[in-house]
Amino acid sequence: MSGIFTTFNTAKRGMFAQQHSINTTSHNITNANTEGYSRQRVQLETTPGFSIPGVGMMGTGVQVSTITRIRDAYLDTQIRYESSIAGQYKARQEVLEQVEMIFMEPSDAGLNTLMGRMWDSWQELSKSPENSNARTIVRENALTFTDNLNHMYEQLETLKNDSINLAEKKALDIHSILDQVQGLNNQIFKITIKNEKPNDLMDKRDLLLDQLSDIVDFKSTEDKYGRVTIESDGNTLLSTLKDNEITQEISVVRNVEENSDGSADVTLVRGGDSINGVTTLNMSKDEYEDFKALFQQGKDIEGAVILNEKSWDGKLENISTAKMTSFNMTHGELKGYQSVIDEVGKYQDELDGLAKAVAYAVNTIHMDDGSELDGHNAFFVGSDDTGDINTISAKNIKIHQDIIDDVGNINTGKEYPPSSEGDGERALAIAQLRNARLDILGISNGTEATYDEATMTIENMSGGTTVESYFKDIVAKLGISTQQANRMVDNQGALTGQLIQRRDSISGVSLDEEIANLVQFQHAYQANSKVISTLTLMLDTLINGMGV
Amino acid sequence: MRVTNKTMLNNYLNNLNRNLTQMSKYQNQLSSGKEISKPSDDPFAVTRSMSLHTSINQNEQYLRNIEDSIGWVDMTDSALGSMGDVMNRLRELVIKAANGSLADSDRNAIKDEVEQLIGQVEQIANTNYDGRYIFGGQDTTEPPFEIIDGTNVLNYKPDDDDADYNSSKKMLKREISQNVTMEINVPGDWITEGKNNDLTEDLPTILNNIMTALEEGDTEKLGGELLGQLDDHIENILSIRSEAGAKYNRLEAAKFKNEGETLNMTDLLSKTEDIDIAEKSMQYMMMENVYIASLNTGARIMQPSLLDFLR
Repeated sequence: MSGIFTTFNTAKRGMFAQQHSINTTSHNITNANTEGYSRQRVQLETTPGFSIPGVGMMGTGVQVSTITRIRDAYLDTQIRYESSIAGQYKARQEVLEQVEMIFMEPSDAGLNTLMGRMWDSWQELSKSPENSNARTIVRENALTFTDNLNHMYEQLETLKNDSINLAEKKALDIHSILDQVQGLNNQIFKITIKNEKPNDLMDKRDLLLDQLSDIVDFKSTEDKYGRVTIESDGNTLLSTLKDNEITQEISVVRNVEENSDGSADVTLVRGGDSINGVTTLNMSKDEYEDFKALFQQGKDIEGAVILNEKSWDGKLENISTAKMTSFNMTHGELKGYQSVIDEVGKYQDELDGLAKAVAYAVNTIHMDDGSELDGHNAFFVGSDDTGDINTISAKNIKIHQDIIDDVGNINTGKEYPPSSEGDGERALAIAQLRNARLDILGISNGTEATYDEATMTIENMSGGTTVESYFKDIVAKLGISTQQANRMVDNQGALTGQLIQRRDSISGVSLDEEIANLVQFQHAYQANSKVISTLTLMLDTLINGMGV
Repeated sequence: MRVTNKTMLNNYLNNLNRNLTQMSKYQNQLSSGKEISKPSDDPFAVTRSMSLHTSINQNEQYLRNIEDSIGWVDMTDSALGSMGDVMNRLRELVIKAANGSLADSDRNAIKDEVEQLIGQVEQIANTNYDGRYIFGGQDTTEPPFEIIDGTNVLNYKPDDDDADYNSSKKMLKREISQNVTMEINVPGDWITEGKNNDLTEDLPTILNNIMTALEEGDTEKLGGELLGQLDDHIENILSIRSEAGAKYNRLEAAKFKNEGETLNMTDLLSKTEDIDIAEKSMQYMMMENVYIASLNTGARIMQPSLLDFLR
C-alpha cells in the first residue's frame, strides 16, 4: 500500500523533471542565434516502480534520463565536404578577380591596345622617317608598352606574394583550430567518462570542424568517448593518443632563391607562423634536388605546403627531406591558394614569353639578323644592353638607353650607313611584325626564327601565332579560369546553403516550438503543484479532522 | 520539413543577396553600355571583342596610310600634268623657232620664254608634299633638280654621283592592307630618262640642246632631232602620269574596301559587346520589382510569432 508520503515524492519528482525541461527550453531560447548550437531535449523516463502485493506495480514518478542534442552527423560530413570545395574556389575567385583587374581587358588602357598603338607608330614612322616627331612617338609608345608590361608583372608578383601570405595565414588558422579541438577533446573526455553528454562542448567542436573544412578537406572520426581524430591526405593532423595529439606541423614555402650552382635558399613559414616560424634553409644542390622531388613536377614550389615534425628545431641538419612530406590536400581554401599561386606564376611566365618574343622580333630586324650592325643597337633590352632574349623578361624589358637619349638612333632605313633620311623600309618591316606568326614558346627556349636580310622579314614559324593573338589567348585562359571559379562558388554556395538549411531544420531552434513546449511544461509543473496541495489537504484532514 | 526562424531568415537573406547581385550586374551593364567588362563575363566574347578591336585599329592605320598615299599620288599626278603642259608649250615654241624665216629678235623672244619654261620644269620637278620632294625617291629631304647657278642648265643632281643622292631611285613603300605594300612614288630619273631608261637623250640635255640650237639658230636641228626627242619625252610623261592615275584608282579601291571592312567589323563589335538598351532596361525594371517584393516580404516574415498570440 503506497503511503501519502510516497505520492509526495512522486509529485516532487514531477516538479523537478518539469523544471529541468523548462530550464532546457530556456537554454534553447537563449541560444537560438548561437552559431553551431543544436537544440537540446530532456529525455524523461519513469522511475522504477515497486510491487505491492495484491495491487501490482505501483509507479513512482518521473526522472530525467539524459539531455541530448538533436543533430545529424551524416549531414555534417556532407556540409564539410561541400564547403571545402566552396572554400577552394572562393580562394581562387578572390585571387583571379584581382588578376583580371591587373590585365584590364577589354579596355582602352589594356596591353592589347598599347601594343596596337606601338605597331601603329612604327607604320607612321615608316611613312615619315625624316620626321623626328614620328620617331619620338615610336619611342613613347614603346615605352608605354614596356612600362605597362613591367607594371603588370610587378602587380602579379605582389599578388602572388599576397596569396602566399594568405596561405600562411590559413596554415596558422588550421593550427589554431587543431589546438582548440585538442582542448575540447580533453574536456569532452572528462565528461563522457562519467557517462554524461557534453552537448555544448560537442557543438563547439563541431563548429570548429565546420570552420576547418573551409580551409582544408579532412576526415574526422569520433571515438567512444566523443573525441575526434582528424586526418587529411593520409596524414594524421590530430590524434587522441595522450601527449601525441599534434605531431605534424603545416608549413608553407614562402620563397625560393635558386643560385646558379644549383643550391638554393628556401624560406619556410613553419606552422604558418609568420612571426616565429620563418626559417630559411640553405640547401646544397643535392638537398635542394631532394626537396624539389617532394612536389609534383612543373608546379611552383613557392606557395607549396609541406608537413614536418612539430618537434623540429628549424635546423637543416636536424631534418631530412624524408621527414617532410608535401601536403596535397584535395580541397579547401589552402588548396585554392596553392593552385592559384601556381596559376599566377604561369601568367607571369606567359608575359615573359610575350616580352621575349616582341623583343626578339623587333631586335632582329632593328639590328639586321640580330647582330649589332654599324653601331645600331638593340631596340628592346633587359638586364644588360645586348638585347639578348635570355636577359629580357616582362619584369625588366625596356628601351635601349641610346634610343631614349636620342631618337635618331632608331634604325628606320634598309641601308648602312643610312643613305637617305626618307628610307623607312626597316620601320615598315618592324611594323609588319604585327602580323608575323612567331613561335613564342619556342623563342623563349632559344628557337631561332628564319630571317631574310634582303626583305627584312621573319619567316612565319610553324605553330606560331601573332603576338596579339598570343596575348588574347592568355586573357581567354584567365577568363575561363575565373568564370569556372565564379560558377563553382555560386554552385557550391547554393549547395551548402541547402544542406545548412537541412541542418537548421533538424538542429535549429524554433521559437514557436519552444514557447509551445514552455506552456506545456508550465502546465505540467502547475499540475504537480496541485497534487502536492491536494496531499496537504489530505494530511490536514487526516491529522486535524480525525478528532482523536 | 521542420521550418525554424533561422531557416526563414537565411533563406530570405540568400535570396535578397542574389537579387541585389543580379541588379548590380544589370546596373553596371546599363551604365557602361557594355555586355562585358571583364574576361570572366564571357571569355569567348571578350577575345572576339579584342580581336575585332585589333583589326579595326589596324584597319584605321591602313586607312591613314592609304589617305596619305592618295594625297601623294594626287600631288604626283597634278605635277606631272603641269609638266606635260610645260612640255607641250615647249614643243609649240620649238616648232615656231624651227621656222627658218623667223627674225632673230623673235627667236630671242622664244629663247627667253624657253628659259622661263626650264625654270618651271625645275620648279615642278622639285614639287614637295608635306615637306618631302616627291620626285626624290627616298632622298626626300633634298631637292633632286637644280638650275646650275648663272646658267640656264637644268641639272638632275643624283646624276652627279653625290653621296646625298644614293637613294633617289628607290621606291617608297606603304602598307595599304595586311601584307599588301605598294610603291607610291615616281623617282626623278623616270622623268629625265624614261621609266626604263629607254629614251635616247635625257631631259636636261635636250633642254640644253634646245637652248644652244636657239642661240645658234640651228632650225634644222630644232625641227628635226630635238622635236623628235621632245615628242618622246611628252609621250613618257603621259605614260608615267597614266601609271600614277592607275595607282590612284588602286588606292581609291583599297580605301573603299578598307572602309567597308571597318564598317562591318564595327557592326560586329557592337553586336558582341554592346547592350540592347531597351532589353536591358526591361530586365533591370523586372529585377527591381523582384527586389522590392522581396524587401516587402522580409518585413512581414520576421514579425509574427507565437508570443504575439499568447495571453
